[in-house]
Amino acid sequence: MRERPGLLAGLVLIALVNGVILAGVAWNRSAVEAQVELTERELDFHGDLEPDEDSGLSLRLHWEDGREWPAPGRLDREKLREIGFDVRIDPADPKAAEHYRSALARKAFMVLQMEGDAWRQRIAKKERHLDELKADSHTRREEIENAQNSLDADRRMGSRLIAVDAGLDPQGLRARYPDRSRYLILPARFDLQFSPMYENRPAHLFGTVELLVAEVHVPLELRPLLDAVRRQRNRESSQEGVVQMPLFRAAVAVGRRYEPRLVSVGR
Amino acid sequence: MIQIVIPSRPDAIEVASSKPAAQKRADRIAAFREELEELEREGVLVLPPEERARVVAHHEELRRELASRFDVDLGERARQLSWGMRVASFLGAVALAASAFFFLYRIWGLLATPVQVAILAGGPALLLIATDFAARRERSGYFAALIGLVAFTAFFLNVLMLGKIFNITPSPGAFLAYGLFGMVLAYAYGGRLNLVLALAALAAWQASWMITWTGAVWTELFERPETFFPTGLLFFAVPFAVPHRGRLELLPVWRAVGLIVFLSAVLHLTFSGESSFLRDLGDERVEIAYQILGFLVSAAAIWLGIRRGWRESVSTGGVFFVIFLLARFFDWWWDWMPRYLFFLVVGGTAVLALWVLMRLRAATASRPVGEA
Repeated sequence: MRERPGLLAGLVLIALVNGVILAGVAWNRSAVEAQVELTERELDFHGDLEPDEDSGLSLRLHWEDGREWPAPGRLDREKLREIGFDVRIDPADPKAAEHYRSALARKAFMVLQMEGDAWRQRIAKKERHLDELKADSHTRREEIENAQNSLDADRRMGSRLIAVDAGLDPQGLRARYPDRSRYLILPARFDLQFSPMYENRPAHLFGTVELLVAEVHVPLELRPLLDAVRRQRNRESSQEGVVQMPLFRAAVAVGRRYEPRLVSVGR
Repeated sequence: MIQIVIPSRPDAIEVASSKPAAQKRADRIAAFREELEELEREGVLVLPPEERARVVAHHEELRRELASRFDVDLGERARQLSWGMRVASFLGAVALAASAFFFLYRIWGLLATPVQVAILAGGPALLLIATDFAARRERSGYFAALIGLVAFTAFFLNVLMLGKIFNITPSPGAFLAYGLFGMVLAYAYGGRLNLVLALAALAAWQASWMITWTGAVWTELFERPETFFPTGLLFFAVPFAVPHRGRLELLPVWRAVGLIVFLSAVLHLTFSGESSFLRDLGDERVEIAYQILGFLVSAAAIWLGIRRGWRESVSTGGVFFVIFLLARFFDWWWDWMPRYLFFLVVGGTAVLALWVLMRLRAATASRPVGEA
């Protein structure tokens, strides 16, 4: 082996890289930072390739984004400053557009609340909107039907996982949201957006968010039920008038490195 | 009378230190033979038969030695076949790598996690062993290069798929791993493509690392092209700074990749001043500054390449010079100039460049032999 330094170096490198990765996984799983029960409402089927070409299965976390975040978690200028963006220029300043147009995305942590006040407020907002439409005599029937259908779909299959806060320090966030069965704290990419003045709306800053780990791999032992559900959804996609209800629930745990994993799946 | 002295044993002379040097020697021998025949036909130089026979015998011995030790091409036909073998090796490597990639995706979901991990980690190890075996058994190195590229793909999948299986937060550390593995393959077993992949990965790793200094997430590495400047310069400098006794064929790769990395970043900045760290000076000023830098660096690459005999430096510098020039022409004139006039100007510029190069070549040819 000494006469083959390239082979030795390559094998050592492979062993080292795999060792580091697996050690990190073990460390992540050595503690449970949070464990939340989700359903098909919060977990979409996802795959990069056609199912024939990709036998793997992942579930994508489906959550509602920050554009409709209720306070106090809104991704407004103050929150963006907290995350580390340079927001010293007032959005109304003529130099603001140039200053903010090439801001780089930052990494921070997002707090997702499961079936809490944020979701109830979201549903209540939609109910109020529907009532307003019904109360207005000029509203067309189709508009009311669409609003009703949207509300029904949200109640039945809409995600109850709502983004409520963000910050740089995950432990600080956990201190603010201590319920580990209701709040997930996950790493995310935050982008700063500048919206110029438009009609009566003043210029303002807002943020958009994308989870850094948006999908959860499904290990083989948890596949049978999910494969059956996926087959059923594929059949339903070609049928009309199917009223969908969630067909599975799943426990998602987050470890020390705030990396999620699927723990269990059931009906 | 010409006296030719040939040592009694050919191995008393150092035949060559590397394959490129051996190929050059073989080419010189062939050129010498052809020229000697021509001189004899013209009656300028006729070697006495004995001495001619000794030179021929010596050259035959040398050619056999070179072919046996370095697998060089001993003629135009062999050279063309070698070229075909390189193309076949490249296509075969890419196809096999793609096959490995899609095969793994096809089966991985049907396997339990420990089996997945074993295959992902074991795959590149076995392929590395196979590469080593091929390198020892087959002198040309084509099979080793082919299997080496598949080993690199397997290692890439190793890291990528472990990330997917365990939902690991993406990290630029993966680029460092790819870069190091590619370097091991390139230097242990040859394969310029492995070095290209390794350098691309290392450039991405270094740029990711730099961009995080600004507080940005590492995935923004392409948003500030200046983060690629250090690696571009470093890669170009490696052949100067790091002695290469073996693997001389990799030196042009360092220079070419270094130039491509640096000049691609400069090219991006000539269009997009707001992506620069210096954008507070004004987008247009930044773009003009990088346009000038682009022209200067690509011209310098051409000049240095001509002086040192670095073909890759001349080609890469030349390509980028033309791109910078065309980009400027487009920027200045496309919107208002009639199309026929625009292309006439471009063509005229090419003719001017041709004239300049012809004059340069004539000036070089008029110098005595031995003077650069």
